[in-house]
Amino acid sequence: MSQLIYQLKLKKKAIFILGVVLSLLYIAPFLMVFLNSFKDKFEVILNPLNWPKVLSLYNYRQAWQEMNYVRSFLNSLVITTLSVGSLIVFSSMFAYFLQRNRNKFTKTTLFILVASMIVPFQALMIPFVAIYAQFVNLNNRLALIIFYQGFGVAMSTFLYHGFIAKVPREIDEAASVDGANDFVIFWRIIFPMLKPITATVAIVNTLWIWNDFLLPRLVLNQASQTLPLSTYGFYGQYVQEYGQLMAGLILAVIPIIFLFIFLQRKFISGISAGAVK
Amino acid sequence: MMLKNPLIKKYAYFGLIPSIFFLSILAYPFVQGAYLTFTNWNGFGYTKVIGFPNYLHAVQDPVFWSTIWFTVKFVIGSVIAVNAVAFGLALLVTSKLKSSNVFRTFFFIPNLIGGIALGVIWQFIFNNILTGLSHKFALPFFKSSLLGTTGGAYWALILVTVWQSSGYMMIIYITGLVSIDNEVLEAAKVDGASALRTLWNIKMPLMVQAFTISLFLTLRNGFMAYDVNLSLTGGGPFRTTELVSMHVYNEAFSYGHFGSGQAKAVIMFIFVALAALLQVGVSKRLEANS
Amino acid sequence: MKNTKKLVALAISSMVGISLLVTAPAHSAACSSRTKFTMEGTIKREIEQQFMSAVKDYNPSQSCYTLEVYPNHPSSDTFLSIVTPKYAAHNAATIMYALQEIPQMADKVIGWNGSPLAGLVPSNLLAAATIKGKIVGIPSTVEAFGLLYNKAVLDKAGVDPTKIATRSDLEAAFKALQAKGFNAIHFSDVWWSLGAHFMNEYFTHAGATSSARLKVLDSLANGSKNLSNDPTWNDYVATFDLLKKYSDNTNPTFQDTEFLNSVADLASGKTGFLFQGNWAEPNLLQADPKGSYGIMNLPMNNDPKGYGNDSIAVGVPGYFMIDRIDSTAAQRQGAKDFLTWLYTSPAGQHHVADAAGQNGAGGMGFIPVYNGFKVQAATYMAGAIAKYVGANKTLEWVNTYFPAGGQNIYGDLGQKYMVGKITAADYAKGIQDAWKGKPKTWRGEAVSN
Repeated sequence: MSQLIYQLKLKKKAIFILGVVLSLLYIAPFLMVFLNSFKDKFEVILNPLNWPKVLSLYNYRQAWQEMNYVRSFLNSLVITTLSVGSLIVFSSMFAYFLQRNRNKFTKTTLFILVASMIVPFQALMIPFVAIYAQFVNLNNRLALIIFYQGFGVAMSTFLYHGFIAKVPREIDEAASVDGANDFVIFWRIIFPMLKPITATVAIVNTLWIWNDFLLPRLVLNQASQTLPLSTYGFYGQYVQEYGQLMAGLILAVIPIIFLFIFLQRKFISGISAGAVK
Repeated sequence: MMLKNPLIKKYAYFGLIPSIFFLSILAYPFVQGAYLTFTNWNGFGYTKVIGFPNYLHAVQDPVFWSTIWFTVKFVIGSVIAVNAVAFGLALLVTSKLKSSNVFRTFFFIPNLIGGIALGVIWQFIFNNILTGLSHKFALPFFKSSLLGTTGGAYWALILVTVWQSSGYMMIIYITGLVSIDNEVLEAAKVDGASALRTLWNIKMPLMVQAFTISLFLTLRNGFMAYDVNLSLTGGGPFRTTELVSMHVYNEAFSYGHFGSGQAKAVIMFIFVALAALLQVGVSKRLEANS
Repeated sequence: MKNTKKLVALAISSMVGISLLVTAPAHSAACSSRTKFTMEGTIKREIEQQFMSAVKDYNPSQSCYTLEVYPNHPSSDTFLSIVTPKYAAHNAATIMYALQEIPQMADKVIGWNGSPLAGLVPSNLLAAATIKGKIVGIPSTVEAFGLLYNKAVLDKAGVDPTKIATRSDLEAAFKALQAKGFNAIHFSDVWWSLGAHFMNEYFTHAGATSSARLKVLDSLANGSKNLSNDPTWNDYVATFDLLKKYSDNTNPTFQDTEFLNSVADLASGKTGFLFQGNWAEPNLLQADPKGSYGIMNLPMNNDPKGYGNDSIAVGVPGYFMIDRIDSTAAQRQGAKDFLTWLYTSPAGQHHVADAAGQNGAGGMGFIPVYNGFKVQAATYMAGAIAKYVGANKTLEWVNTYFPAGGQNIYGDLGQKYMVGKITAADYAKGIQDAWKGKPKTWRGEAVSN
C-alpha cells in the first residue's frame, strides 16, 4: 500500500515538474522581450541575452510617446467596449427571435449566418474597401464599430441560438400570459438567464476586437489608432527601433493581461459555456 | 401595413438591425466581390464584364498553387499540433494538482495577445535569442535562424500557432473532461482498466463534442491565419511561406492585380468551405457513433 | 539626355558652394480665408518629426493655405493599399509621394511641365517621372548606393578605396582585410537591397547610354533577351559570386532586421565593406558616433576603364505628385506653394538639408537637388556623393522603371542564389520570366490589370 502511495506521489511530482517546465516555456518569450526592452537597438541585436548595460526607462518613455499610449489605449477601450456591447444586444435579440420562431425564413437565415462564419475576411476585403471607401482611412471610429457588428453578428448569434434552445419555452409563455410584451419578456426574464453564454460572447469578441489588426488598419489612421496598430509604428522604411518596439510590446500587452488576471474565473467559465452547445 | 403581421413586427424589432448590418457589411461585399472577378476591375474601377480571364490568370500562377499547398500543409500541421498539445495540457491541468490553476493561467496568457505582437515577439526569439543561445553554448542546433529556410519557417509558424491557441483549446478540452460522469470513471477503475485505456476507450469517446468544436475552430483559424504570418515570416524566405490570406492581400495591394487577387479569394473561400463541410460531416458521424 | 550628368552635377554642386539666383514664389497678397490641403504621409517614417516641424513652420509663414498631413501608415502597407480606397471615396490627398507606382498615377495627378519648380530640377532626375511627355512628379532628393566602408578598418588593412578600379582590385582589398583578421564584406540578404539596388547594378551597366539601357528593358519585356549570353550579366553574376565568397553573412535570415545587423557589423569595426546606400549613415553614426564611413564604386569587371566601374548609383527615391481629380484649384495651388516654399525658401531648405538629429531634431538630411540651393548638405557621405556627382561619375537607377512588385521577385531570386538554392542559369531565367510581358512604362505604356 505504501508502495502505491509512494508511486502516486512520484507521479504527482513528475506531473508538477512537467507543469512548471511548460509554464516557463509559455512565459519565457515575454521575459526575453522584457529583458530587451531596456536596451538600445544595437544592443538588442548584438547582445540579446545579456543584462542591459544601463537600466534606463528611455525606451518606455519613447514608446509611451510614439504610441501615443493614452489615446491608443482609450481608442482600443472605447472601440472594444462599444462593439462588444452592441454585439451582445443585437445578436442575443436576433438569436431569440430566430430560435423562438422556427419557420423556413428563420431556418434559412440561421443557415446563412453559420455558413458565413467560414468566409475568410480576405475574400471580401478588397470589395469591402471599394464599397465602404468613404469610411476608410477617415479616422472614423463609429464606422469601425458598425463594421464589427457586420462581421461579428453571425458567430455571436450562433452561440446565443444554441444556448436559448435550452431555455424552456414555458418561461416565455408564462410571462406572456401575465401580459408582458416581447421586449419585457426578453430583457427582464430571458436575457438574465443567458449570462454564461453572454460571458462567452463577450470574451470571444473582446479577444478578437481588442487584438484585431487588419480591419482597424483599413479603417483608422494614426490619429485614431488602436494599440495593435500603434506597436507597428516602430517599423520604419529601413530600420526597426528594436528596443522601443520591445517596450511598446510590453506596454501593449499589459492591459489585457491585467484584465484577464482579474476576471480569470469568468474567462474560463465563459469559454466552457461556449464549448458545450 | 406590413407591421400588422405580428411575426414581421417582431422581426422588425428583434432582427432587422443585425440583419441590415450582416447583409450590408458581410454579404454584399462578398457577392460584389464574386461579381467583380468577372470584370476588368483595376482597383480604381471597371469598364466591362470580361468573363473568366481573372480566374485563368489566378490558376495559371504557380506561386498561387504553391501557396495553397503550403496553406494546406500549415492547416494540417497546426490542427494536429494545437489539438494534441491542448489535450495534453488539459489532462495535465485536470490531474488534481494544487497548482493546476496557476498552470492554466500561464498556458492561457499567449491567447490574450494579438497575432501581430506574437509574431514580432517570436521573430525576435528565433532570430536573436535562439541563435544567441546556440552561439553562447555552442549548441549543434539553432545556429542560424529557423526563419531563414522554408522548412524552418514552417515549423516556426506551427510552433507559434501552438503557443498562441493551445491555451484556448485546452479550456474546451477541460470542459469536456470535467463533464464526464464520475461514476463511469469509477466503474472503469473497479474493472481494473489502465489509465491509458480509460482515456482512449472511455474519456475520449465521451467528449467527442469538445473535439468537434476544437477541430472546427483550429481548422478555421488555420485557413484564415494572417497576422502571425505577416509579422513572423512576412512570407519569406523567397515568398515561400505566404499563406493564402497574405497572398491575396499582396496580389491586390502590392502588385496591383485586383481582379485576379479577388478571384484567388473566391477560390480560397471554396477551399475553406469544402474543408469545413468535410470536417463537420466526419465529426457528426463520430458523434452519432459514440 | 546627353547632358544629364552635367545637369546633376550642376544641381548638386550648387550645394557644395555655387548658388544660383532663385526668384521667390510670388505670393499673392494676404488671403481672406485659408484653404486646407492635405498630404499623404511624411515622405518616410524615419523623418516624420522633422517633416512635421517643417509643416509647423510653413503654415504660419503665409495666410492662404493650411497643410494637414495624413499620418503615416504601417510600413507594411503599400502605396496602392493607401490611395485606392481614397480615390474610390473621392477623397484623395492633395500631395502624394511614390516611386514605382508613378505609371499607375499618371492620369490622376497634375503635370509639372513648364512649372518653375520643375525647371529647377536637372532633367535626368525627372526622366523616371515622365510618362508620355507629362512630368508626373518632382523629386524629393537623391540617394546613392554602392560599397560603404569603415575608414578605420580600411586604413588598418592598408586599403585605399580610391585605388580600387576593377573587380580583381576589389578581391585584393578583400584579401588584405582578411589577412589583418577583419571580415572583408557584409553582403546583405535583405530583399530590397538584392531586389532593387544590387539588381540595378546589372541594369545600369547594361548600356552606357540611357537609350541603350532602355533597349535592354524592351528586350526583356518582349521576352527576346537571353541574359546568359550577355557579358554584362555574366560580370554581374561574377561580382555577386565575389561578394558572396568574401561575405561574413554566412547564415542569412532573410529578415528585415538584417539591415540593422549589417549596420552593426560595419560600425563595430569587424568588417570593412557593406553593400548599401547613404540612408545607412545616420544608423552607422548612431551605432558608433566616432566612426567615419565612406561610399565608393562597386567595380563590375576587370577593365579599369569599363563603363561605370568608377561610379556610384545615384537616383531619386520618390516623387511628389499633386492630385487633379479630387482636389480644388486652390488646393492644388496650395500644394505647389508648399513644395516651392520647402525647396526654395531659406527656412524650407534648412528643413530639407540639415542633418537629422536625435528625437526628431534637425532637418531631413536630404541631399539637395534643386538648383539654387543655398543650404549645404550636412553629412560626410553627402559630401562624398556630391564629389562623385561633380566628377560626373554617377550611374542611373534603372530600378525606378521596375514594374510594381518586381523588386520583390528579383529579391527572392537573389536570396535563393545567395544560399545556392538556384544556379546562375536559374537566376537568369527567373529574371527573364519575371519581366516577360510587363508593360513598357518607360515607353509610356499604360499599366493594365
